[in-house]
Amino acid sequence: MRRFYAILVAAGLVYMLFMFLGTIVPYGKADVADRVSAHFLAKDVNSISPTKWVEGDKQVPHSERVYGRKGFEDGSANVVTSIVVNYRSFDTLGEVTVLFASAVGVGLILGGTRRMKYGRKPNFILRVSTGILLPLIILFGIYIFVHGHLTPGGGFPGGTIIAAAVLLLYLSNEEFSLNMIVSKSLEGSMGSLYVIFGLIGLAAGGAFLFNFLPNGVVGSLFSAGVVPLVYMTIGLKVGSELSGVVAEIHEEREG
Amino acid sequence: MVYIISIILVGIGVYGLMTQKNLFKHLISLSIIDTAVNIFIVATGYVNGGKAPIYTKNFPSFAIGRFVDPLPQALVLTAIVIGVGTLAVGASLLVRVKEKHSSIDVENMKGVGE
Amino acid sequence: MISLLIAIPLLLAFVSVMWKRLAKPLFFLAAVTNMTVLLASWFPNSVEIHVMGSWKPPFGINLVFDNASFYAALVVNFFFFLVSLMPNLVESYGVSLMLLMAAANGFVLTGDLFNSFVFMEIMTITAVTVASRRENFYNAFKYLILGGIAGSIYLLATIFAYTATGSLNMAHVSMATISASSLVAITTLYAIGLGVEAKLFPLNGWVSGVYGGNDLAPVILGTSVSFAALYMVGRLFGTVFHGSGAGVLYTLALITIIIGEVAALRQQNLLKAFAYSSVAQAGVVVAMISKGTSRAMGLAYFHLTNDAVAKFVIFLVAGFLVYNYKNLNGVFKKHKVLGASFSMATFSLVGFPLFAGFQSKLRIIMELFSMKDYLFPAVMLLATLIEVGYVVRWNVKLWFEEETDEKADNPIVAGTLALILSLLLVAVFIKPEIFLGGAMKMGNALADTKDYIHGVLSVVKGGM
Repeated sequence: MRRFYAILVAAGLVYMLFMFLGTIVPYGKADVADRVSAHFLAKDVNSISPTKWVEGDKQVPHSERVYGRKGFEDGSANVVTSIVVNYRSFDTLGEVTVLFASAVGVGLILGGTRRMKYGRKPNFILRVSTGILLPLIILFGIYIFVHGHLTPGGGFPGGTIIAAAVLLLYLSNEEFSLNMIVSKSLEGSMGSLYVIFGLIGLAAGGAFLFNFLPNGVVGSLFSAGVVPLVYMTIGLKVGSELSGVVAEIHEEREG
Repeated sequence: MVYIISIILVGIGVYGLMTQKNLFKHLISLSIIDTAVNIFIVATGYVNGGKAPIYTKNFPSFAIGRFVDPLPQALVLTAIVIGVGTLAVGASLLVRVKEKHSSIDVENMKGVGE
Repeated sequence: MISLLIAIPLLLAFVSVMWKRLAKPLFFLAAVTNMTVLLASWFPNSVEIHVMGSWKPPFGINLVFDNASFYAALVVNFFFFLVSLMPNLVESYGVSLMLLMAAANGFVLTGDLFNSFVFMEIMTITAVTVASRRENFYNAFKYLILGGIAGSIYLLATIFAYTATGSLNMAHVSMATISASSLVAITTLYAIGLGVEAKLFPLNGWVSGVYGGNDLAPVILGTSVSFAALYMVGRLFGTVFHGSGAGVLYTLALITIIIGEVAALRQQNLLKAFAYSSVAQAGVVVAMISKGTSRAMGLAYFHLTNDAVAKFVIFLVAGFLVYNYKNLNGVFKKHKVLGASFSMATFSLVGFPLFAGFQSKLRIIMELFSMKDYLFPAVMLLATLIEVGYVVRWNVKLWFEEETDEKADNPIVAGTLALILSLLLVAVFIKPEIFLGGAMKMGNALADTKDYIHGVLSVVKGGM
């Protein structure tokens, strides 16, 4: 009976969503020109008139060469990054906060104090290869978030890769446990740093999270103003945060 | 097609939530729904023949139809991270549920009366 | 200035994770700062925006500060301030409460659909953390699952709105021409997505478990967070979608009222009984919002404010009693102050004359009669009858039944706060303008889409 109701509800929901499908553009036919993202791509948000745009008078985004030039309102070659860390940076602050909230929540809920033991020795390959792979993984993680404004990736994947290195340490060594004071203070200070970047922008440019550094040449490593700095902050924060979560899951409560 | 697959995945997730008795499977169903929605969002931004929205030597300038819509991708990045947070909290709640009620199966849990 | 409402609690939360001992004083500091910021910018009477990163709407994210979001932020922060005065309630949850405060403020102030989704998710995760207090894990888990689904559906609604209009800005979405079928899709999905936080009928299964599971969760989730969620219902269905989708909301809300009241009557647990009552009141508010006129919405928020104040007192007292006494019979003989404020709050909930609830219920029913709607007043009168039933029953049980020899110290701060707030309810009966003025301004601001669009899209200004 329960299954029958479940099928009924699920089928109803699927049917409803199918009906709604008719209202959105068919797959592959998305018209970027009608959306705000055309101007994110062309990096000309500041030069078009928002009042005209909302009234349906879509202005042609400029099509000059962007790569290797300078003087644009936003300097990252990866447009997804420029949206995540510049145009919609406030969302990203929220996103960082979600992770932070869940790390705090995991800590409060589990409340462990002692490293949990697996009760068996990790095998030889795992132990030896950890020593070889660990620096490479951490280096790769750092590479990912330092180049976040140039290539796919960024702070979140980079931080996750670093946390994966910590997970590897936990798996390969029963005695290892993360120094929570270091990870908590890194987490807290990096989070504060992001808010402080925002407040500096408020003081320097009159808007919270304003990009207050010069943008440089699109496509070079030192470009895009605060974007790489913010992504490094996020990378370190996410890395320490998820490492903290991994550490907390490996702890158990006394008694 | 991608739309249809993601909608069916949502359906599977809802079905799983309603029928399964193991709480961990509820969490997995939730994460199936999350993933389905994320696939759907990325799909809404796809342009036939569009490239990844990154300026490179080969694609140095903007033209309509050259790049896919980057905004849904940025939104999905956020949504994925939120999904991870939910999953972490859910998993740790389940660890404690297991400790307190000695099972994570709805029917075998002790001390969950109304 | 208004971005500080979000930035300060966030910053302090990040700082306090490094020094755990500071969490409680910093939570108090954050609450005080937010109240100061709000009091310094009393009722703006116009639509002010703050653009993030100085990207003009509809391209960037903007915070909107008008009479509606001011009043909502005021109520939200007021309850956080009250909670921060009670350190034994906060315990080790200071960081989570700060994050919840930042998220609730962000949810109220934001003018961007996706941004509101992000804040809703922060609210869900921190609320789950708060709900898991006192080993209430299973109920917190149920809340997490429902909240997660609601979040996904809300996100889906947002993306439908994005493909239909090309931007995520609420002001732009509200002025864009959306086809009727696509409007149906968006509003239905939003109704489901907000249904969990707004405690609407099929999605409110979590409420009794979460509110009934510990003493902190109902006090903060039942007041601040539910005000923020119901504010968003008004903002989306009133301002952004001009009342489309209101029929669905209206029906669901009426069912919610009946089911909530019946469940409250049958409930034997003090906290859970009033948890169901808060479900029913949310139904009244949503049904009123779905009427769509500025006066109806103003009255809805007037009622919600009265309800939130009364619920704060009720949950505070009930939480204290449930976790200090095994047998609640006659406990008010030992705690006369708590008992008096509890009784006043419950009477206000029912709508006895002399208390604030009377003013809002009477006005709502008069307003509905003038709109020629007789179904909703009938439901409301029935609900009131049921309310009389359980309120009288609980008051008799807590005041007059044979007492046991259990003992607990009188909570001084909580008692004082409860007394002050219940006297406030009497003051509102005598002079309804205390809440009514603000709520009416809020209703006007929510119904006036033109002003909202004009304010967001033409006044491009940075600054604090």
